[in-house]
Amino acid sequence: MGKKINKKAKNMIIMSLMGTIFLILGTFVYLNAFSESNKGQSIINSGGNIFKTPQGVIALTIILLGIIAFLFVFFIKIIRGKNVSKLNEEYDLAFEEIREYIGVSALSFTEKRELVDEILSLFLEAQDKGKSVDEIIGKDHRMFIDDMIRAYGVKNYFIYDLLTGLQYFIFYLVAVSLLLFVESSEDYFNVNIDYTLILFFIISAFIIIPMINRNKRKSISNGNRNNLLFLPVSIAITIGLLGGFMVLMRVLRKYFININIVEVLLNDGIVIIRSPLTLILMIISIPVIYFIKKTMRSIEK
Amino acid sequence: MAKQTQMLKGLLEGCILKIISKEETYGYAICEELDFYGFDNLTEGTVYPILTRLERNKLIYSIKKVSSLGPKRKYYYLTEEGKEQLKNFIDNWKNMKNRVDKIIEEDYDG
Repeated sequence: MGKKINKKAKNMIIMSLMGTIFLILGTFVYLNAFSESNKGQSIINSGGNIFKTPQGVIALTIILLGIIAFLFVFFIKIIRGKNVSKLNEEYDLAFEEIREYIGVSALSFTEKRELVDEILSLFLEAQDKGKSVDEIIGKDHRMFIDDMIRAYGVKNYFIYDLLTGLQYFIFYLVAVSLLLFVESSEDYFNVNIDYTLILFFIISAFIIIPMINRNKRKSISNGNRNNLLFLPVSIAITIGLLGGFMVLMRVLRKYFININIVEVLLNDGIVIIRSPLTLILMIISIPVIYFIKKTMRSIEK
Repeated sequence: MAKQTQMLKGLLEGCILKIISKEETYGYAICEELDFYGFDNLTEGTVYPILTRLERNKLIYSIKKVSSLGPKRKYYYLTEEGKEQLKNFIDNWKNMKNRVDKIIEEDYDG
């Protein structure tokens, strides 16, 4: 109640603003760092017009995406933030926890937004009538939100996480091929990706991301009053796995390089995207997987 | 929710369909109506998932309208299939009620 600005909304806006600035800065650093290493396609050679180079186009796209993402987050957060700021402390706490939990559930983007709005609406009405949170959704908040999510027809997180991981993995491959292409200016359909990099993507997409989501869900279901506790644990998981991965690669290189498989893993790579057809299939598969996930949901009723 | 029997859940769904059939209404108002008719230990946490499930099963549909209290409110209406289900529910309930009543009355007679 009153004019309390929702802290979370403010944080989100600041974070997305910083993210955009980093993107822009990073892109310019990248442009300058690699401006001499390309075969005749450096910024200098193109007569100073950076937008004639592939790097320039990429940079422009990234900057535009960053601005669009920032505006998008900004407007959504402002619009909802106005309503959320009307919640009193008790409702605000419960709402943030529930919103977090819905965020990592297997619902689609639209369903999540719908559900969050519905709960916000419910909370505002109940608060207006002077009821307490536990009065309207019961003491077990998690059971309530599980019921709501289950009513949408979602149950199996594992397969969902797997499919999501697959989407990320495909996206990584397409994106890294693009970056390597820009860096070396060779044929995009002949870009060689190191096996270690592929292994790293597999770990990120199928282990790190699902782990972070699971940790998020658990920390909320444990009734964690401090719902940002999942953040340090998620960061720790990520750093731990990345660090462990790098250490493992070092160890392999130092002690096991004489084994054939290890040598291949560490030094060789493979061309994943060999033709325009492959690229198109890979890009199409991302929305296709999205529809598979959606169909899975409506079957599980 | 775990304590509720299948029967009560089914009855609630039928009652909610009936309430929606009377006039356009929204989640919170449905709870209040149920409360008015004696279901006074129901939480919104019980009713809302039922509404979501009914909508998912296409027995009701919703339209968002502006409300004075904040975010748009979902107003619910019966679909054709919902109207059919409501009719089935009322028939089943009357049947059931008849049979149970007969058995109970017999007990008292004997």
